Amino acid sequence: MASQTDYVTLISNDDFSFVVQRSAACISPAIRKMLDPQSMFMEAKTNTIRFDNFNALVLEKVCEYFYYNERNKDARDVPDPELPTELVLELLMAGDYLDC
Amino acid sequence: MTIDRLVISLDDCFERGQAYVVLSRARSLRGLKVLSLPKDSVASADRTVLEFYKTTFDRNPVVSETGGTDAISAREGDISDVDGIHSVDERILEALHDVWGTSLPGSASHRPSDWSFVHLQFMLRIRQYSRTTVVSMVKHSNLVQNSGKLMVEHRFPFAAMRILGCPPTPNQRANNRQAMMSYLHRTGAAGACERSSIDLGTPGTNDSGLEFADLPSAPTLQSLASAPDANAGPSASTRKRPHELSDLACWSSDPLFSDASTDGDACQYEVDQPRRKRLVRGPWWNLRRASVHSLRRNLVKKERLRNGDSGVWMGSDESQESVDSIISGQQRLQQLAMDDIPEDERQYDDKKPESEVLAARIVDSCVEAGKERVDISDLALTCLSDETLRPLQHLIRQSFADFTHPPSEEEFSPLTPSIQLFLSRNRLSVLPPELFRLTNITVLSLRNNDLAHLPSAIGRLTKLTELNIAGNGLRHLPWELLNMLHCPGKQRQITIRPNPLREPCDFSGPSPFRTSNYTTAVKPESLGRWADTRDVVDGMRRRYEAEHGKLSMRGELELRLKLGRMLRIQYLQEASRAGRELRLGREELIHLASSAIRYFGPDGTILRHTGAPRTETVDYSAVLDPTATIPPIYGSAAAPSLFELTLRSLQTNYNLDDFLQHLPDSNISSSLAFAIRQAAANVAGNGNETCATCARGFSGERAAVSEEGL
Repeated sequence: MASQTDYVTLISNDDFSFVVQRSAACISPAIRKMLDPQSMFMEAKTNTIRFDNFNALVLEKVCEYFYYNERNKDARDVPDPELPTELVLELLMAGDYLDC
Repeated sequence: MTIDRLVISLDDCFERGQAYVVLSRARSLRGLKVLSLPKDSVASADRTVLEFYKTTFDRNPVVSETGGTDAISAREGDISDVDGIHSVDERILEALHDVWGTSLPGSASHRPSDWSFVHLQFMLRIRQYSRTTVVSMVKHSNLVQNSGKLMVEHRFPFAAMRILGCPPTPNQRANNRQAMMSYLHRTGAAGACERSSIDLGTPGTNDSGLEFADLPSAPTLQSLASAPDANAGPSASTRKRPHELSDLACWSSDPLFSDASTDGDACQYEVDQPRRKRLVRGPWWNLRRASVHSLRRNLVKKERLRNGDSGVWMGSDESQESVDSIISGQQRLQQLAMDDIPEDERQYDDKKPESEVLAARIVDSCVEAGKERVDISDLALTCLSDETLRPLQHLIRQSFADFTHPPSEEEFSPLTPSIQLFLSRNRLSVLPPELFRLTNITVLSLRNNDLAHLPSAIGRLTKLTELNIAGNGLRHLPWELLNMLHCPGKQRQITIRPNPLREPCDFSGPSPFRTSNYTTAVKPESLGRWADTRDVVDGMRRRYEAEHGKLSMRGELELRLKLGRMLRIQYLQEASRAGRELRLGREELIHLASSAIRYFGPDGTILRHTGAPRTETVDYSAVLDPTATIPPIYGSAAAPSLFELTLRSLQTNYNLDDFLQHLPDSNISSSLAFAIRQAAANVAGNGNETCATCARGFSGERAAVSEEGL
């Protein structure tokens, strides 16, 4: 049983790794389930998640979104974050995959 | 108008007009009683009187303003009957002849005796929209320049720009050029016309379609060149053509501010103006003639300046007649303006159904004429595209709507139109999103169509005062309609019924209050303040429950309805007591009942409470106190989810219809494809301005709308 670290590592399919706060990453229910120590997934043991379907560009935006969401959790009238239009479709698929 | 109470029998009349004499004695309609009507032979007015009225007053048959096909056919009618234009400059008529290819009878014999600034103003205002008329105006820019130009430039810069903006077809260009050439030849002015491009003074439109460049030079017969000065642009505004002015002098009204002392100044001013060098080609004797002209010009200068048009028109008793004649002429001209929309100016899509082309034409003609009443009803339209309605964005209110009165103060009101759009009696099942971008619509009639769904974007039409959606297949109304109903300070008329609206509660059968004597206890007159009203209704409820136990749904609804009616009566009473204006729209909206609220995720799927029964049929039955617990949505409630954000961005940045065609090729999960399809449908239905989550809170307070609706 690996210890619950404060940070988790997200690795894109082109081998870029992003180290994000656990609380931010757990905004996505899918990641939360993966990292759930009860689940005994590989990811939960190593605190590392490897995404085969996102490249670094998308994953970076996703991580940015995690922090955006965490920061604005209780705020009102939050301005929408800037999303690069060329990545929108891939981000949409990522959002669908991560349930966030 | 002498007798207060009058009882008459008219069947003894033996001559036309007798009935009128008798009836005209009555002081008011209320005091008049007619026992019998006259015989048919003497029932109508005297024929000679009718004739007299016709010849004296009715010189201008009114164009059918009912719009629709009638108006179109009237516009397409014969334009040879224009003897109303009896005071128009001959040359203008010639130019009209060139442009329309129609001879205008009875015009040459009339001298332009009362031509004035008002005339030009009228003329220009009528013809401001269509290109050919601008051409004809510019051809006579010697007239335009003196007085009317300012209006074209400053008052309707937008109209001018729009006209200039669309390049003519090569065919039209040739026609225009030919007309221009023949005109120049006739006036003998072509010689001085080296290269004249006509420019209406809107910067940036120099490369527009309206240019007559490279006209070949011809010998000048007379030097009064109108063509080179034909550009009425700002640079030309300082130049004057003296000879033309001398012609004009007799048509113009007296200058407002002129006396002997200012005459001298004006002369000085004119002499000091820089003149453009004129390149004169041709034999020397033409030059000679020019000098003779200039001599004559100097001779008439003094008088001309005295009579020069000051550009300010003031109505006086003498000018009243001429204004009337102008108005009469203008209506003819307006008809002409209707006709001169070139057929090939807009390329109508052949793929469109014929009715839609007709609709587009109606819209165009309304925009051209500045008519606010756009009648596209009764055309059996099955669909209406964005392109058809888009020209309405450019509609500018015609400042002289009906040409029946001389210019007044209200002429200077803003030109924002209040569009009245009639789409009734068609077969529309979907409304174009463009419709909801026309925020200037004040009256919208969608009566008798096949609409199954009214987009919530209707709330964007904030200027609506009248909305008619009767006779459609609407099962529910958008939430936004409630806001429209409840707007203090504005009177709105919204006609909803008949529509197959959902009945959330069964109102058939006997009322629970019928049996016992609850309702008679309260009289509207006895109601004092609003709080009392609520107390009274509460009292009724308590009494009922004391006797019969719990009040049924039906009874509760009836009680609430009753409260609403009483509040309304009370409001009216108060208003009338205080002498205020009665406004029915200002009543308080009363919550009657709601159905259970359904929530949608950002992807359009229905969110369910965990453990809630999974029912496919939607339950719209009314619930008095809706449970408004929101099921858990993805992520946090405050910040939008990534999915939602990206979907919204996708919606605004991409054309989803194109996108959908490629969907099967790409490996997208079915739920994602469903979401994108939903978003595309949202775009099609609401335009691109609402986000995908607008449909989330879907509550069914239709009962309040349909029962408390006006």
